Amino acid sequence: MKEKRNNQRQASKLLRILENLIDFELIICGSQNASYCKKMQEVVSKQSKPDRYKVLNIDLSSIKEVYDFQNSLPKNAENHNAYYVINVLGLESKIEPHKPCAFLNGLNLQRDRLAEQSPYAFIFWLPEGLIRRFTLDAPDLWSWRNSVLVFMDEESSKRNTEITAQESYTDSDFSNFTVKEKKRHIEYLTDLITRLKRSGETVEIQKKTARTILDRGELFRLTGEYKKALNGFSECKEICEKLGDRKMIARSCNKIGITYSALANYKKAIIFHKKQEQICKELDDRNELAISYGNQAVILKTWGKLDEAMVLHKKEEKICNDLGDIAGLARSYGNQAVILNAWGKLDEAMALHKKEEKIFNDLGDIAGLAISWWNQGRIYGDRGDRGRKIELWGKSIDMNKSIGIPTESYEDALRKYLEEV
Amino acid sequence: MPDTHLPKDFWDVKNKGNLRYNDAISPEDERYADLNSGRGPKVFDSLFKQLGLDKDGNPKLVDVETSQYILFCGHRGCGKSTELKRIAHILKKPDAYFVVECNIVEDLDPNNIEYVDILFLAAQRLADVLSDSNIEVGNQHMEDLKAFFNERIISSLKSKDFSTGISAGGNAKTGFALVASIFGQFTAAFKYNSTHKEEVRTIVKNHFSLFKTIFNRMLEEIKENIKRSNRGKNLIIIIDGTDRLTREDCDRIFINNASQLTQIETNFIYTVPIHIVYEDRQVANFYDKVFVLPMVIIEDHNTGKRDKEGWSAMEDMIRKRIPDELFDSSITIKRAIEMSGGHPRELLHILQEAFNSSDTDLFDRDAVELALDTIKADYMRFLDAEDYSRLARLEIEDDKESDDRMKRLLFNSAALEYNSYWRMVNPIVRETKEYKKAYEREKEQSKAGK
Repeated sequence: MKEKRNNQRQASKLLRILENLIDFELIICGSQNASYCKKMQEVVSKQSKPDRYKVLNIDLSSIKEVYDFQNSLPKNAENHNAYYVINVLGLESKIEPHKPCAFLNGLNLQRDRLAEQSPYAFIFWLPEGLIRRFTLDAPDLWSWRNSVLVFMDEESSKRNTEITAQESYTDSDFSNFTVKEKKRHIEYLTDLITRLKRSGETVEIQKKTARTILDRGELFRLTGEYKKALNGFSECKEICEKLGDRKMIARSCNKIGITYSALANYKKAIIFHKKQEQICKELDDRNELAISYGNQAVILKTWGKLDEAMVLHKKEEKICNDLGDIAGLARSYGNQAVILNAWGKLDEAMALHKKEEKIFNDLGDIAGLAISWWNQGRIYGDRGDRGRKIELWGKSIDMNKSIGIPTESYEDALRKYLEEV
Repeated sequence: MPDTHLPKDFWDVKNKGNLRYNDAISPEDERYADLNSGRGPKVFDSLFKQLGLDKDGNPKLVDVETSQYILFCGHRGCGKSTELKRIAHILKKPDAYFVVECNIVEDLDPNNIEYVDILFLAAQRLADVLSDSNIEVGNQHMEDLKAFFNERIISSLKSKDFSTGISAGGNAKTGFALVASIFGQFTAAFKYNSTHKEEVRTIVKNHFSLFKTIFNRMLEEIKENIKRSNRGKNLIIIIDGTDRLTREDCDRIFINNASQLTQIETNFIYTVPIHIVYEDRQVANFYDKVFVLPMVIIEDHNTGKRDKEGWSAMEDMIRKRIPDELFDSSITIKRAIEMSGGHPRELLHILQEAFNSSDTDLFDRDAVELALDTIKADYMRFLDAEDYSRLARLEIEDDKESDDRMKRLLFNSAALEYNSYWRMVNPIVRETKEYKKAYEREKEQSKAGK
């Protein structure tokens, strides 16, 4: 009864909207099951008033890109006197759980153009549970909605509630994830990988599978499960090798290299960074190339090969300069300064640290500043200025604490130094 | 456009497009209502001062060699584009600025965008406008730019099919028409050429430093010639549409690539989504000003009393679109304004929904209440239990922390921000059962905590 009343109210509202169409209108219609949705679309079609507007149905499941969707629409310029009510169906085929919907993102960005080129009424039909995704993935378009109407299934409103289960929106940037969220996301990605592997072997699916495996590997790395991370990165690399996707092969190599470095297996790490370097050169991807040089240099420094490390840091510096990448430049300066310090060239090292400090200051990079001060403190200590060293180390610890970076080892070092002096 | 926007009856309100909220209104439009007096005192003063203008928009110090990078943001639907149009209008004077306006949504592929695309589009638009204004620069700058494209970019392109499509000097155009055409070919490639755009971008990024040097030298003379030709005392480029980017893209461009964006030496205003204000210190360090367009204040933060100026601005906004006699009573108007929280688009949305729901051919109280129920349901679709608790804490403890959740709530207008970073729970959300329950719970906890 309640459902029936609701539907009557929603239907009369929809009809009133259809009575008063002018210009661009966005109506979002949710329903608790597909068959009911279809029933309501028929109602809309029956309301068609050829003298005032024509009803068109566009099914998105057969459309790939937002541009294709826009191209399939009647254009204002071509239809001076005609008005259209466009039923947009199949949006659910574009939406995957736990992942921003690229199609909705695209519609969001194309909002103004959509309204300008096709100033008609758009009725988006989708399962009620997915309306939330509309609000999250197309927030600007959503803010232009005329109305949201939800039709309930009069026979079995409870039977199909599973499709309305709310999905949590997750961002692909894992750095903000808590440990719990990382673990939960690993479970989700594992499930997604299984489904992707089952769903076919087209190039597109394989690319998606590889990217998902890489993402899961990164989450394993961030949670300290290095073995699983390595397996994932290697599997991604294999798939990309089959597909000939060189950019992704280079990315996998970088991840493998970083993971081996975390395991202190520098020999293996450098092999992969070399491979990354080679591909980046072939692709002329200088941004990634600088990263590869930097990572290799850090390993060489660990091995005591300071000359070789310096050569790579200089290459890194040149690229960062060319690219205008000042954050990369600061990292390079800092690493070069540490080498100069080891060579006893204290003034040159300090000059580079000062340059590094200025950039980190401009960037507001607190963690970078803390490291720079710590290393500058070392140089002051080597020069015999104990007071300045203690002051800078103290500042560095406070800075790290302010952003939640663990400081136990730094505090230990400072305590020991204070005991010594 | 019809002669007058004032409707003759209830149905004519819709017919005249007076419930539309999908286009920015220019100050000349009859429906334009100046909401600025209601946004709080001196809202634009600091922005104008930053640009060398006094509070009334009169140029005072624009003839200064500066490169300022300003981020312009605000809630969705709070009137950003409308205000940006007004600001461009104020700045565009011979004794103030030579203004170049770009919209990335119209000219780029916003689904796939990099900082290079934005800078090249700005360069293209600038060259277009200069070409139309018959402003020129010395040949050497043109030669340097052509040489840069020919020797560094075009010769590095692996794809010959694509590279022959870009010509830096082989056509009949000269001067800025040629420059516009070169940049135009690149922006078209960034937009349409899905196969090669990555290659083109990578090459351009690899040579960014050189590009910046050549372009900045040219800009210096452009600014000089603008002054000389009495078209403006300074140059400003306004980039709109960048507030529509996804959070990921926005952070990548405006935070990670901030150093590149701020190496082009002229004045820029970029629209950005509101979350970026709270990102981190980098934003404040790189950009000279982050301007937040606040909501219209309808109640006093401290006393809870109605704010006269804000209230009258919102009433004025309604009256410019719907005459009083189409409401059943002034109480209905008050209710709609109160529930809008001073959010202009929300007010129009309430009225639009009331139009859809009315049985009386009037904007009556029942219709407004039905409209509010519908919009409440819209908010409830994306708010979860923790969101309600966070909002309740905002109201109880005036908790100003800009954590991720609060950023999202501001982004979705579940929380609204006013002048001086004062925040309030959206009144429509405040009326949901879920919020009321969370409020009681949090209040109990807050008492227990004390």
